[in-house]
Amino acid sequence: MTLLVARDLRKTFAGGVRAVDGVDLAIGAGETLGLVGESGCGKSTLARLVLRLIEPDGGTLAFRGDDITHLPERAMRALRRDMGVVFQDPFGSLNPRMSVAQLLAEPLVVHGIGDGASRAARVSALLELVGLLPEHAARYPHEFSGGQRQRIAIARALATEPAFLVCDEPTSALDVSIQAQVLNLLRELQERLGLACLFVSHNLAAVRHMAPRVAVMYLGQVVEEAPRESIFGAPQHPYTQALLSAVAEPGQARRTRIVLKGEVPSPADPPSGCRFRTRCPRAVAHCAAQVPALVGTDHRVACHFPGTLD
Amino acid sequence: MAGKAPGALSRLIAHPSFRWGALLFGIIVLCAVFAWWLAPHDPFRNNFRTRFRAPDETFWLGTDRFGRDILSRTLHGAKVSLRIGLGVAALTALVGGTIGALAGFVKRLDGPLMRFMDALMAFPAVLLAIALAAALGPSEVNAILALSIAYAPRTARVMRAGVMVVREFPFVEGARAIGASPARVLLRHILPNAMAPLVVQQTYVFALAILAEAVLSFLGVGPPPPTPTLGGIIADGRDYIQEAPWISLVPGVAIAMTVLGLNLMGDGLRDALDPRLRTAIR
Repeated sequence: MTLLVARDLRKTFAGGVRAVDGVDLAIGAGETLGLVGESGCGKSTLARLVLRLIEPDGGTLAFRGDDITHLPERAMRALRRDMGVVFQDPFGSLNPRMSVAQLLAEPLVVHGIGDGASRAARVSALLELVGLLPEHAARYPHEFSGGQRQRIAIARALATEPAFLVCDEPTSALDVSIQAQVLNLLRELQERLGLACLFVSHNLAAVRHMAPRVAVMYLGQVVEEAPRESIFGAPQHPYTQALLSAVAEPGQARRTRIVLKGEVPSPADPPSGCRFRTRCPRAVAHCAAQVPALVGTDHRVACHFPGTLD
Repeated sequence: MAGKAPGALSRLIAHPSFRWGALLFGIIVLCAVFAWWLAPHDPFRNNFRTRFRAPDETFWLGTDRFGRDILSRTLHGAKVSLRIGLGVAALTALVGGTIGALAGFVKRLDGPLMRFMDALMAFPAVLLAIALAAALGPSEVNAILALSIAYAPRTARVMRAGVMVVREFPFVEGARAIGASPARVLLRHILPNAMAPLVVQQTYVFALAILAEAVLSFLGVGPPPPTPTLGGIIADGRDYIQEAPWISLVPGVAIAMTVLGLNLMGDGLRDALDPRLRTAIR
């Protein structure tokens, strides 16, 4: 069953910035979708939209088959029991005045799950789940390192046993040496608990590690979506190709880098037709006239002239 | 709450102006609390044979026109003044703090609440307090009420600003993401992290209230005689300032010391509780 379905999701911020401009997404139960794109492409906004932490301006959102686009505030709060989120900044995302025990028990308190004793037991189990010790429960967030804090954030997100987890750049604020640990933990938990997961990152390697299916975003839209092997093996969209060519891979012959010309256009005033055309090596007049639709079945691409490089 | 922040308490104790302020204010508070034991004479007893005594070995700080001991009256006056200051600090924290927190958190309420606060703030605080105290009638409780209404807008502004800063912290979004109610987000997540500026502000309000109370009493709209208040004793000495300056001077110095102590403590608290400001100074 498809757990989360977003159709034509839109969000415009003050100043006419079209952060998310018509995105379709579908995530099945137990499935992980990776979402990549450069800074400012709207991927974090999309992550907040699917959780309704911010309200969409257009489109629909369905969770377990129910339309939740306009679900009233109170019902939405109850539904959050089944949704978890891990944010980018482990230093800002934990209330500094709450102990780890309070942080981990809070979701249970909010949703009225268990009593004091069972919550304490759950806190210990959660700490163990993310590789921390039960005695860490009495400490405060400032006593932990970035990687440990992110483990606490993950434990908090999983406290109510959600079916759906959003990870918004969960490792980009961490030291490189810690990133792999946290990624492995996330993947292990995702598989063990059968979580559906939206994994947002600008780090291609992280997305590749985490997600069997990957969507690429550019200027508020998904330009390509495909299984991991196709995206990384045979990308069709020129933007995806440029993105991948920028990654240095060990043990591989130097590949030609595709260097994009110009800057990302302003999301407040995106180009007509295909949004990528101002920087696209394949662009022709037609690209300015017509918006390319995201077409395909397993491998979807939004380009008038899709195709692999060779 | 403040003690939970890492090292805030030790920073506070190490802060020189907080230490001096706390020492000064602590001595004054002790003198006021134990006024009945410490005062060498009855502050209310008139004695025409001892009128206008200059400081001597019996009346250490002299007497007023009714022959009452100035030291004793000042000690008791300090008690009343501190009670009023504390009452105002507490009441403005409660009322102004609540108004500011709601204005900062609930966007719909921000406009109406803060325009009302602005309207109150348009009047000079002391003038407003005098008008309110005059309208309510002279008593200690009315002085507290009048001063609280006059000073609450400042506290509300500080609280609102603090809430608006903390509201944008990622952990607030995180609290919403787990399904916490708006009330829970405000009370458990925002307020505990927005209290530091309020605590600092309230030490200043405490000091301002003592000064303003002295003005009310001086003008005769504070607690009615014979209750000794610091402003009232200054007023008693007004007509004899040339011949018996000690009458006004002693309570005047007491007010100055109290306010100095509070302000020094406030500065220390501000530095200890606001890490950003502290690093900026370094």
